[in-house]
Amino acid sequence: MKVRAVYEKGDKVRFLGHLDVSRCIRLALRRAKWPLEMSQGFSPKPRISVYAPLPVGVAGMREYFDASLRGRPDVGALARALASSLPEGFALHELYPIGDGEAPFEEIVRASLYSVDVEGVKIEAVRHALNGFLKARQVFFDVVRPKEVKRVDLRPFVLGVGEPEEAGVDRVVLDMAIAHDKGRTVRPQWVLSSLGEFDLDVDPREAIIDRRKIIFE
Amino acid sequence: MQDVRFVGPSWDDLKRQLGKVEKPARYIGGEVGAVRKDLASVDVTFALAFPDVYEVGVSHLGSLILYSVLNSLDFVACERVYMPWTDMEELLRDKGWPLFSIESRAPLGSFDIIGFSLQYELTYTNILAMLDLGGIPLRSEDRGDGHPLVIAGGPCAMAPEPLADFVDAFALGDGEELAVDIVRVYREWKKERGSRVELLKRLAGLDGVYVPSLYDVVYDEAGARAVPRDFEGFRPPHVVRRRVLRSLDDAPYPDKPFIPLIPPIHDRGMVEIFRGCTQGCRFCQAGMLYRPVREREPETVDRLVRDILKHSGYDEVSLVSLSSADYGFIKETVSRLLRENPCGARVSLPSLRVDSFSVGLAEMLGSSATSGLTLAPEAGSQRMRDAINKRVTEEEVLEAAASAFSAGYSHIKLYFMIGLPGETDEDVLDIARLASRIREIGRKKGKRPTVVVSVSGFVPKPHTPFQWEPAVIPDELRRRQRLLRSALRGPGLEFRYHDAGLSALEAVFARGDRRLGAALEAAFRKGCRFDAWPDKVRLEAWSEAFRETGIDPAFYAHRERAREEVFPWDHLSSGVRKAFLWKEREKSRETLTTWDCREGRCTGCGICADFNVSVRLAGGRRGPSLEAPPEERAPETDAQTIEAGDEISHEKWSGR
Repeated sequence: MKVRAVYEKGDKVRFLGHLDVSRCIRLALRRAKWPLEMSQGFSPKPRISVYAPLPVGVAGMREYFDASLRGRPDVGALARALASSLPEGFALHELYPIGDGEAPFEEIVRASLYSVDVEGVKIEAVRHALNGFLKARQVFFDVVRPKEVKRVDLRPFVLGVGEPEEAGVDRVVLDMAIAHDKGRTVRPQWVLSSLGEFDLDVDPREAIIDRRKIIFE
Repeated sequence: MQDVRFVGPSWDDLKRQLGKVEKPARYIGGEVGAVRKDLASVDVTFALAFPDVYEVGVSHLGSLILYSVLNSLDFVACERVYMPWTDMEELLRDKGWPLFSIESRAPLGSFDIIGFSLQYELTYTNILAMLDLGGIPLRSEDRGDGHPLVIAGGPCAMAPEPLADFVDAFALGDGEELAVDIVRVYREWKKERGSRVELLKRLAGLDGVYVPSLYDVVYDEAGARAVPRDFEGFRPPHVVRRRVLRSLDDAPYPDKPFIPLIPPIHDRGMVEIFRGCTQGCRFCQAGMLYRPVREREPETVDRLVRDILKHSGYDEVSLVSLSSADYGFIKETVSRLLRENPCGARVSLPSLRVDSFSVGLAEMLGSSATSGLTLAPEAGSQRMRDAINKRVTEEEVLEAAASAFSAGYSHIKLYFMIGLPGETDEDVLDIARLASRIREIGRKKGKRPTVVVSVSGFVPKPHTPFQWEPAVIPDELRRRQRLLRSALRGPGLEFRYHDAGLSALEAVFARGDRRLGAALEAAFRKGCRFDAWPDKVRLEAWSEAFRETGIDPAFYAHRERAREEVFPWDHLSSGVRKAFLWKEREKSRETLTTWDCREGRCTGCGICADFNVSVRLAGGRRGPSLEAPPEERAPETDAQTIEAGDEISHEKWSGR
């Protein structure tokens, strides 16, 4: 049997990377005594897929993982056991069985809806920069990796940006819809960085970013 | 309302900044099983401080044990603090935030007691950095009643003089009972609102606590002598003896350890199967400091394995000790754990001997396909192995390798030391010859073997038979490294070595005296941090620090000591007699070996007689009789010997 979990990577654990989140879930499932189906081979691993990696620093309100189980255990009991085994900062929102014929997760994800909270900026400057970004045909960003620098055009990934709202003095919150294309996507921090080209001086590392939901086809 | 004393940076402020540092999860806490009490509602708050980065600190078993022991007391709240990585230190300083605890984000300076773990000499600048980041005066003499008590324990506490200016009290030996005694004394003192000196005196009255400010140090041609100061009605002991648990089986153990949210360097459960080691390797400080051997009963080991796996969710448990194959029930325990397979977990043994039995154990554990096998012959020639009392023959090494290749291993890692006392170029080259022979054995077994030779520079350590020996100078160590590298060429042979400069720095502080405190502080002021990390250590800054403070590092690292020299750690007793150590040193020069007292004969090291403890083997097996063969007994006329029942005095200990 295969189950899908909708969980939260909350505020307190936003600084975990994707591999850390996967490890926390794996340990929690073992503590919850889920009858996990193991892979074959010399070093069997539980069959768990944690989807749509979030960058370090970004929380996720409705995230997904699948797990393959032995037998047909009671889903309610599994949910209760897991909910009490997750580390503080995580929460389980839904758990339901899925069929084997389900389309691969990455193929049906269309977009992520992020909420971005930045300080030290005026709302007019944010509006101006976003307008500039959205009017541009291409906005390039250099992704610096340990052994290479990769240039990415951010513009096609940004599907839309909500109207910025003032959340306090020099503090602005806005929504941002970012596309997923066959497993490829871009980070909202990169988009914030690129707004420097449109006269917005903001340190993306100081932004509080939450993925509010994942949008499917 | 929250007690303002315990308020560090708020989460809202912190989370806007943590994106700027590497691995920010090091600073967020939230581990499953971490204990968070209301700091304002307990009598004693204790910050367990580890002077290295989070992933290293959370893997340290001793700290896990103390965390559990202290938090089991209802009047104590124990939280953890780790050395922030350099980017986080910069951020804290930039924001004016104090170093804070993991659980409550309480400022380090708000705790009653800060307890540092001293595992390694090259973490000392981190200790000063942590105090400084906590807003705590570095030097004990500058701390007043409003400041935390700064204590430290761990192996380096047995030779702690380089830190004597900065640490109020050192806790020597096993911490399970001593930590409880210390917080009880602190609680009583706090209730009575006594002076700081009063607290230090009371602590010095506990067995196993050394308060350096209560001693003067006399430096003369005899060495560095610590002399207890006279107080009215109180005189600290001439010799402070380390605390020794009689039985490990009765000792508390963290069966519900906290589980970090990011992988620690040892990402698995840990069960300590025994403490102490009597193999008697003459270079090994741990082998001398943790005597006698005390084994846990197999039933206790089983229970702890089950509890830890159930609580943690780990899929691997490590049976930890200084030489796990020596555990009396190792084969039975491993077989049972694999057969009954609690929670579907793997079992690992971190430190195996160089013999076929150990390879057989490794094979049982089924690690061949996923990882290589590590063996530690420590020296290449039989002569040197005998000199260091690594009681393994070349045939046994080769047999172990052959067993490993037969069991499916193709990757074998060999640990060696160079720069050992009496070592010649031939001894160094014998490392290459041994590695080549092992490679040939692998080839004959139809493998394409990889033999990795990993070599570290020998650093003489206090309380060992080699404490009188010089460390070879870095240039000479580098020459021997080059010699070995040139002999280790060819397919299937890999050579790895440690920085000779780091070994030299370690050698200075390992046997340092109180005068080194000035150089340590100078190096800290110059920005030295994480000296054990080759990409972080700044040896040039260290050279400047030594020069500016008039310290000659060679005096500490590269000087052969006379037999009579009084060492800066002679007033701290591990229980192993200095006369025994000297005798072992002499046997080393004659390449004579000494047996393991587990085999039934006492070696006369002194711990059992002087400390009234005994070897505790699981299953009721008998340890050695204290009656050593007469020729092996420590000479009774030797003024440096402390005999059972004697009142221990400094005069007697130091031969005066």
